Amino acid sequence: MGVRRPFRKLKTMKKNIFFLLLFIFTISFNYAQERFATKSGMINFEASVPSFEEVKATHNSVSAILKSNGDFASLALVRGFRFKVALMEEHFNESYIESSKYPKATFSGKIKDFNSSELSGVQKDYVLLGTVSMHGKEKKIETTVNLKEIDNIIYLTTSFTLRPEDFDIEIPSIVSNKIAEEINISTYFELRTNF
Amino acid sequence: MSKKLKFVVLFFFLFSGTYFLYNYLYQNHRNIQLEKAEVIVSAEGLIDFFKKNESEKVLNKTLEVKGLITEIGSKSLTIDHKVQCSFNFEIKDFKIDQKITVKGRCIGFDELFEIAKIDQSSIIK
Repeated sequence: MGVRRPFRKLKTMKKNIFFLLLFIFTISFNYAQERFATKSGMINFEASVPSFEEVKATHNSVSAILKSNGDFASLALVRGFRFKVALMEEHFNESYIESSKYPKATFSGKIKDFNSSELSGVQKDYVLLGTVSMHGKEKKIETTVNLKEIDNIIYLTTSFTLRPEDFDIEIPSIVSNKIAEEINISTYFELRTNF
Repeated sequence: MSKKLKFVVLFFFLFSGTYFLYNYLYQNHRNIQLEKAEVIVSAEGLIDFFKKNESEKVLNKTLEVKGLITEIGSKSLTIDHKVQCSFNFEIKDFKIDQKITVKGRCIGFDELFEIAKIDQSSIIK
């Protein structure tokens, strides 16, 4: 028995090496997973109150990356939000979102049960879970995303609401009745593989 | 007579007051295309501002970026894989590897792609 032991050790070592190789293989496989991305996605937000000036902005160069395991990340440089009224844009940047101090708004999360091979030209709904961070604060959200795929481009749209107080953004009482308490955010991304 | 004068003066102040208030509230957007570029850099040079933590020198400023086109979108161009310039209009007639100078406003550094972004771009050359 005592003689056989070294062989047994060798066997377990072989087993370990096998698992190590498998581990390395899966890691490199994960690295090679497909990535859908865009640098010119769109985000709209609207916080208008009826019968007052519309509070609305658009961003046309939002970045986003969707991995084939459902991981989704997006980044908007807040300076890029354009308003119709120049003064409103200035106040948004200087007093509310403080874009020189906090230049980015990001989202990172996961699309539940995502499988890129399931996608087709027919829109399908998925649940998106993740964290929005901006103005130095974070907030977890859950929303529905619509996905469809045509000619290897994934079209992703979603909308959700956020509240300024969740991000420590104070709206002065003078204008608080002109800005909605809940801000509607809608996004549109055309995600491509050639990145 | 004096009553009429008072009325005219009052009307004048009321009118000019509304005029200035309106102009303040509805002032025009910056016209990046007409502004003189404060910084003229290569795509790589623009990235360096962010790497050296000197973003305040370029953020929200009008810049001119020179380089070769590496990617073309419907309303955007990427220069030297480092700077994405977005336009307010559809662009066409550009080729990959074409030499270009673009003027625009820098909106920041995008860590997802490690690129700087410029909006309201216009073609200089």
